[in-house]
Amino acid sequence: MVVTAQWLLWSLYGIVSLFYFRDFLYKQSSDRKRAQQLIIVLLIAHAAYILFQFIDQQRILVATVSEALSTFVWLTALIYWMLERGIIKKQTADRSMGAFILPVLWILFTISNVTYKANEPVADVLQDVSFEIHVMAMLLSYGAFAISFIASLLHTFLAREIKKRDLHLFYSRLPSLAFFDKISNAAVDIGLLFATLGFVLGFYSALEVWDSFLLSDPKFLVTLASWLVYCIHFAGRKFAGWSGQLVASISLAGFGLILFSFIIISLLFTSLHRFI
Amino acid sequence: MKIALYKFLGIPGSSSTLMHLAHTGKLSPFAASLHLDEWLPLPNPNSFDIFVVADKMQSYTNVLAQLQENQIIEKKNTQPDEYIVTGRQAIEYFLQLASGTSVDPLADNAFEKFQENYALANEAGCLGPVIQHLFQQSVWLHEKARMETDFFKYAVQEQSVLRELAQKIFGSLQNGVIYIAGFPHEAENYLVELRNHGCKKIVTLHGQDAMPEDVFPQIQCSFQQVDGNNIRLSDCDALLIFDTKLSKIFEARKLSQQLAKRNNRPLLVFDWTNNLDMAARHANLYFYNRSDLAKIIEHNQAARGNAVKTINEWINKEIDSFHSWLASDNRHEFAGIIGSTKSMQHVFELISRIARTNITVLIDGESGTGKELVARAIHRLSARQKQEFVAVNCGAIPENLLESELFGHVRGSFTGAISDKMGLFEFAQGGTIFLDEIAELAPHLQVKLLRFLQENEIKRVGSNEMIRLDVRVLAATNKNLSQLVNEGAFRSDLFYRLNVLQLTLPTLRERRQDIPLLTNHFLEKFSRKFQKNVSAVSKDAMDALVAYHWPGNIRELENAIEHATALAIGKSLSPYDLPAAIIKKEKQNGRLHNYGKMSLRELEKNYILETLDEFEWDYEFVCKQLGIGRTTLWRKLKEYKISK
Repeated sequence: MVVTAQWLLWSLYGIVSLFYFRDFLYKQSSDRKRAQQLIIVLLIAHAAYILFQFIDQQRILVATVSEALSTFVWLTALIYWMLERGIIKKQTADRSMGAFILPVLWILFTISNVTYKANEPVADVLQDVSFEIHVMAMLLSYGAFAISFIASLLHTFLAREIKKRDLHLFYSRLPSLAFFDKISNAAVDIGLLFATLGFVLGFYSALEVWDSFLLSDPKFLVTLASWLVYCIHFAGRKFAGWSGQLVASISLAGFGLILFSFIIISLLFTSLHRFI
Repeated sequence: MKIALYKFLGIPGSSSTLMHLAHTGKLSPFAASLHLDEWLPLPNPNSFDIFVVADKMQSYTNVLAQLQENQIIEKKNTQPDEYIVTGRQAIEYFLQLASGTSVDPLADNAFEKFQENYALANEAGCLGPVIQHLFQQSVWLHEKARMETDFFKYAVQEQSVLRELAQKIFGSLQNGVIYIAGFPHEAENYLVELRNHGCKKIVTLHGQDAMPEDVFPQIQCSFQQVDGNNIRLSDCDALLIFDTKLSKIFEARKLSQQLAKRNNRPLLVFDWTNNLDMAARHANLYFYNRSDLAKIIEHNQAARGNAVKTINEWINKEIDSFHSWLASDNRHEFAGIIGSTKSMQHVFELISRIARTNITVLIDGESGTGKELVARAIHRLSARQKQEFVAVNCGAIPENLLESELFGHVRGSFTGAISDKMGLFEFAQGGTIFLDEIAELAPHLQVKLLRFLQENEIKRVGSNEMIRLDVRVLAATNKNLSQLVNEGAFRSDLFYRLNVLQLTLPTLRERRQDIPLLTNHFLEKFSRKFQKNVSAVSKDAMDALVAYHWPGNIRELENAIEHATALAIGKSLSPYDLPAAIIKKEKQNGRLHNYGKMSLRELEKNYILETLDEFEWDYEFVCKQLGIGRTTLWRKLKEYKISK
């Protein structure tokens, strides 16, 4: 039953991605409208699934890779949807960002489904409430950073085309550089807020669970480094008036570090953060 | 009838001189001296074109001499390059130019310029049915190209390419600050384009020499003096460099240093002089020179290729249809409607403009002014032409039947509904529905119609199922709808939905010059119907027709001619063939009742004024109506100090 629900959600993510992508390619208002309606259905359905699991298992779904990914996908889609409602709608009718975010979420959801194992044993450590909130906050911040990453990536592609006077698909289909700037900045603001919250809670639960302090953990160090990068991003914007490609590059670097901590370090080093 | 385009390449013209000439009355002697039926002068910055319609072609030297003679263009020592285009090629040129689909690089800005010149020439009375017809075709072509191709989506002018780049970088240009160095008059195009897209703050940089004054008449800008290295670029978003002297200050190295200082925000630099070379060293610097823009334009022009091919096919079809229109000898006909007056030409132009859009139109006019004909013309010129056109007279169908007639019903929804029935809206799917006498629509049907206009959905009577439809609604009324709204007899929300565009048709009284045209048209129609050989209208009969006040408008005229043709003996219509009411009322138009008590002089003055207005100052008709000669009329105009 859980598996069926997961694959149903998976196909819903696929369909929404398809409509966003069609909108990007053909700029038909009917596709855009469908995409905007379906993403709401999707968010509600996924939220219902998470709630159901919460009631069923008496814990938030963040303990295994599959669960954390699934929750991450939902949170990212939620943040994107809120940005779409809040910022994009006021500026332009353009929804081309969705064509790059939703397919990524769909792929992540596929991984989540494939790696899902029923009744995986969950350590007691991972069922602590403050720990759960720590993970949720971190996931939320990662989601926001991911959106900022994609916006910065699109910013970079578009800026390249504009600079090289080589005006092709991105130039004709994407909105302006300033637009991606705005989205990326808003996402970093959200991300930074939750990352800071996550860190505080993380320290708290770590001190409770483990005796040793975690400074020697490579994963913690890299994540801290990326947090610092985003702090520079924030401060540069607020106090030195940075914008444009400069901040886009910083955002790319920040998320690069996060990816690094997830993929490389998880594979090569043994970390206390083994569960993801 | 010959059509030609004369181009004088070496002679600059400007539309302001044209305006001046139109006001001083210098245009008509020119046309008369060359026996031109119609002509459209198109002054351009570097050339002077004239599009002419005449029975006899003139030689260049003749046209040039007359242009100079009449001081339309200045006498110059140098002979201009000139060439002449005739026939099909000239028409093609006209259609491309007037619809804005020309790919000729010389035709930069040509579309806006053409509209301006056309309006001036129309005002000055240079135009006639041929050029007007061509113009209406062009307007229609423009809309079609805009709606159905990508042609207008690619910028091909330097200033619009630059503006598009700026928009891609900054998004909205609303808060943009533009610095401009140097002020050749070419710079103004760029500034106008940027200002039209929201830029408000423009700063002109100048050297130590005199402060420039009024360099750009159309643009408001502030000034800043530049000396040595002292350029403050901190609040600047875009820097446009137009001056080679000043550009020394902007030597690549120095400017680069400046830019390095403000690398935190995006900056657009445009070098019109092609002197600077700044590689894209800085992440936030977007640098272009003129040849970059040329490259982009080339690229965009290539991208237009497909659209151009399609549009050229359309233009060829339009040329064929123009030729058949020209051959049909029905010069005053437009999509089945006859009219030569300015008010009707305006109606035709509006129809051409709106036919291709799916806009809801409220056609308004007295009964018998041809509202349905206009609706049919709109349908015929729209992309829906191959689909159904359904005309419904809301006043003619009983209220309880109208609902099921319009929206359909399902079986058993009321007594007698023995099977499902499709409504007229569904029948018109993909096409157009024309709702005549919309004011007669019952309140509950107004709600249903409003719902359709908002949601494009209808519900059959007795059914709960919504049906989505794609139908264009054209509505007509002979009542004053806004007054009905005030009285509460018509829903205001429906009124605003319908009244997106109101097309008011003139009454026949307001376009008496068209009466002979219409009379001949109907005469031909009914002689064919009655198999008679009536081909002319006697002078007395025509005078009576022109003088009558036609409360029933064109429908009444049609009936009168049918009546007369049926009675006519011989080859021409005599006054005795006309219905009695027309001859009886010939002398009393019922208009003098409003004058109250006034002196005879006042009465005469008022009557002359009214008649002049009625015939749009066409003296021939005015004299006929007043029963006086031209000289008498002149004398009276002078006496009463009446002037246009």
